Amino acid sequence: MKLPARRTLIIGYLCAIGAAMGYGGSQVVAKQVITETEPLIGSAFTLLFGLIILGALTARDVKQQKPAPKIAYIRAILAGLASAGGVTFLYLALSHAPVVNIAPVTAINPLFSIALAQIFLRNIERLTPRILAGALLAIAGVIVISISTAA
Amino acid sequence: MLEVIITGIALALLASLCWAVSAVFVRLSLNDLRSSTTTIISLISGIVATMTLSLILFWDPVFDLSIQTFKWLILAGILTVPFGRFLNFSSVQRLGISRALPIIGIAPLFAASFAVLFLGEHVTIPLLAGTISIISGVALIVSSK
Repeated sequence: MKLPARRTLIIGYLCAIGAAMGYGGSQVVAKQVITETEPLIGSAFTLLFGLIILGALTARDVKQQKPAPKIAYIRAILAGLASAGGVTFLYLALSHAPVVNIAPVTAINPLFSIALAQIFLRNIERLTPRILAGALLAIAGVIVISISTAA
Repeated sequence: MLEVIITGIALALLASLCWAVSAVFVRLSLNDLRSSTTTIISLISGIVATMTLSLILFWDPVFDLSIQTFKWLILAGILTVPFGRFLNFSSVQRLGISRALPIIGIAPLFAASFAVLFLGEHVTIPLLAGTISIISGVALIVSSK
């Protein structure tokens, strides 16, 4: 019984590291993309190629979707618009500053998520001292990077 | 030069805010839809918006993309969507959010390392300290029960 559990954990950790490498690597590739085309075009085609590949991987799962309320689809559409805005702003940011400056600032994303969850999903998320400490550390990091850039 | 970099940092903060807004909508959408369905619908709406704006604002550049640029765009697509998201979801499924997210949160370290290795960018001590501070903060937040 222990072996499968351990294997599951190891695979999970490898997946997490792989995801981190994927997200990290994507910013470096994005930097190359914006040297060759407009940030908005880069964002559009990045999402398009991502959709083609992910669509092929998850087609069977999507077919099993049961009918859902319209509001669920609207929320998914709004999520996509906001996410596309994020990718576009990332490409624009990379056209202004090096990856080493931009990457850590984008890491503040969970902080915004928690703040918005406090406002819109209060029943699900709650604010703890640990979360506050983490938020302050993350903000301090952004300030240090901004000051070091200014120096 | 400084103003340009500060603008870049402000745009990066805007990107983070957009992703956070997206996360809230994703969470609400997942009450009724599968994660795969939510991902596909959200990708389609994002593509429609960005592609429409691209065609309106940059008609000629869209059709002037070189084969080399397409290669970079395909690589960016693979790393951003299926590689990043698929492995992200797989790790959360196996480890749970509190264990998986702090590890995924080290992405900026990989980004900085790759930038130094492949783009010849430089890492300063304050930049490294700031990066570690942000990652530590994010780890504290996501591991909070």
